[in-house]
Amino acid sequence: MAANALEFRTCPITGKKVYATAQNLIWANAVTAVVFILVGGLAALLVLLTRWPAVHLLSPDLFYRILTLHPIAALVAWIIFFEVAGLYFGCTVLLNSRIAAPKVAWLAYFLMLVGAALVAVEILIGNADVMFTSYIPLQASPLYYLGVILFAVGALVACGIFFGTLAIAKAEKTYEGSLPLVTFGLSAAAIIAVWTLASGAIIYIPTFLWSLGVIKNIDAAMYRLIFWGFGHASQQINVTAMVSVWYLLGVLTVGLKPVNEKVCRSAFVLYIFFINLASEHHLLTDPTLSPAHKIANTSYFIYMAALASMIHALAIPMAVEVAQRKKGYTKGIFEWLTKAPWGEPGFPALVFSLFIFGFIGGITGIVNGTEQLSIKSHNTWAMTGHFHGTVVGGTTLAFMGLTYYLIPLVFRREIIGKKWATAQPYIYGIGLIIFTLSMIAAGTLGVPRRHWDITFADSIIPFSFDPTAILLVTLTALGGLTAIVGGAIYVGVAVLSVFFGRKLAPNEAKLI
Amino acid sequence: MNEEGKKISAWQLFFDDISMLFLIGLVIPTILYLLWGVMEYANAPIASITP
Amino acid sequence: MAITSPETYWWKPADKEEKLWITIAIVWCLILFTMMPLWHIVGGQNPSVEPLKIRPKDYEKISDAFIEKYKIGEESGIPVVKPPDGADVYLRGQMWNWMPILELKKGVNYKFHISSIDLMHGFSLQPLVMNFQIVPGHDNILNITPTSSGTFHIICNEFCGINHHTMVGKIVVKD
Repeated sequence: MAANALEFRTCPITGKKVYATAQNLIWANAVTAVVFILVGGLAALLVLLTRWPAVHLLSPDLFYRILTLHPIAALVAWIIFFEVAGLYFGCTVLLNSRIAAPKVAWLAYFLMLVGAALVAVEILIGNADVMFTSYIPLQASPLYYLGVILFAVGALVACGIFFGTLAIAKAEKTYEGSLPLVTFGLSAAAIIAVWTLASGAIIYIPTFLWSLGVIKNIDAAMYRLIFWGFGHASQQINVTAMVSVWYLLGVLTVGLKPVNEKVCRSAFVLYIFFINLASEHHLLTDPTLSPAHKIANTSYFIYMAALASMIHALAIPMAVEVAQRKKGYTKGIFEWLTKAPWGEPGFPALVFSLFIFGFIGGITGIVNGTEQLSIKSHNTWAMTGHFHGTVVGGTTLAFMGLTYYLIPLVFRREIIGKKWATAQPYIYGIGLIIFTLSMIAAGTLGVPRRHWDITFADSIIPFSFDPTAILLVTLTALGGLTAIVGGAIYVGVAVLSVFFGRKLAPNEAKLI
Repeated sequence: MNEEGKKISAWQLFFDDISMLFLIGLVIPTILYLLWGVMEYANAPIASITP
Repeated sequence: MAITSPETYWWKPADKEEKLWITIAIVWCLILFTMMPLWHIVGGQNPSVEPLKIRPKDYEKISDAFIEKYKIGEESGIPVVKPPDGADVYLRGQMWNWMPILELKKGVNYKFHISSIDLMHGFSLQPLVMNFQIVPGHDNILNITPTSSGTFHIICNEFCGINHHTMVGKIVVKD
């Protein structure tokens, strides 16, 4: 922490300058992220074992409490801490730059840490059984809202550090010409993050005052509108950061070079302009809001952000193919793919992440996000399946794959258990494919999300689902348990390597 | 313009201008999603109590 | 590489393959977009199009009056209501039931007013799986014509407190 602001080493692999202050910040944010995915994963296990009718582990009060904790830890804290680490990596290491205002960056880190811890504690002691969405008029304790606000302010400051560093790098000419594509993509993520966090402030500050009794009334529908400007848009930060990480993983595994910079960057620009409109996806079956508002926004303005994802879906595999063919894998149509580095963790992580995000998360998202089809899926498990495809199968898996490279590159430690690390994306990916597909199928039969007992044993009016639905819930549980095993391997390898991995010599150019 | 005198495309310059992208990225969802939505909720009629 | 700055002039035309793919994607985007407004004209199922706010206390009064007027019996303590053809139907979400049980006629159009008097609820009609967000202070107005007879259930799929999972309602459609 006390490193000199101008102290740096030169990376033996990329030749880039790595400043000690930036390295410490990346380390702290990434390690904290891993701690939170451990918490989120344990919560996931408890939720899963309760929703599995054959086990039905927790009591309803504990279930709803842990179900509130799970997304706070796994969706918010894990992902955003990791993204901050990624942002700092993108603006310092990739640009050969020192980091702007390291003390302020540490302040941002502690704000986020205190905020996340406060929220987690408030949930665990039973002061906030309100789910991740905390829909008004459901009320949590003021400290819960305060925790969210502290976290969001910290993350906003971190974005400021990112933009500040871009300005420093430009002024000090640490790079020439345009930003590297990965850093450009991360800039898009940071821009999206600023709007997201601003929406969070607009809604959480009045809600905090409402919980204190200062404000008497907040319109419940208006809350949903602005909340989702925060809640959904934060998933758009994840999408954009994940796509940037895809390009980065492509570089680290096969030496990817974008086929056409214009095409790739246009896709990121479309994200910046239109992707946040998709917050509307949550409001399609709401009363009062007009179809015009719904259609214009849910379609990201004529599906411009979906177009962007389609562009990346071509550009990345295409660039991988070109890079592989340059290495001489030119036999037949598919030698470039069969001879790809499937035996190191980054490549399967990239492929599974692309596949699960695109084919499971992305397609269901577009379908469920059309105005009328939302009627069929709103608040069912099909939604839960959709966003586990995007945010777990997509973002989390990509970040996991990247971790195995950040540890030797930035933290200069050798990975412990490389075989485990290589197997991990396969186990996690296959588990998630079973998990998300079964969940979506159960949802189409009507299984609701956020529900303790789908057998309705205590209802006054009896109701039961088709037995197929129960079978699908069981399959979901089995897929989920497989993924949790994969998650545990990730945490194990990451923690052991970061703390006990062999320290690499200064000039040792060893990646994995 | 660089040394060889060949002109860099205006689009390329626009894409390199992160602060301009930032501004547009904030303005579009603020108007189209937030302000429009808030206005619709604020202006919706309220039912009177005559069942 | 994607982690180094690109060449000085990178604004270059896309390849033929890229252009083809992007064109296909744009056409697909336009079709997707057009379907939504189009379905408002040609389709049978659309979300609410009538904006209306209603104070939860007022809604409670109106729906109580509706229940009293058309009540035909009671089932496990919940009133059973049979509204006349084409009537305005008030279906109330509250912790933790859907009030009242409705008896409707097949092929008749009813104007549903669904709202909540306490928290957010999720109207989820089974086994058709049609879902609407029920927001206190807002009237979710839906024109519904039952097209088949039988017993339908409404479960709640938005978290509404500790007994959320017991919240089940019922609609019986008769020929």
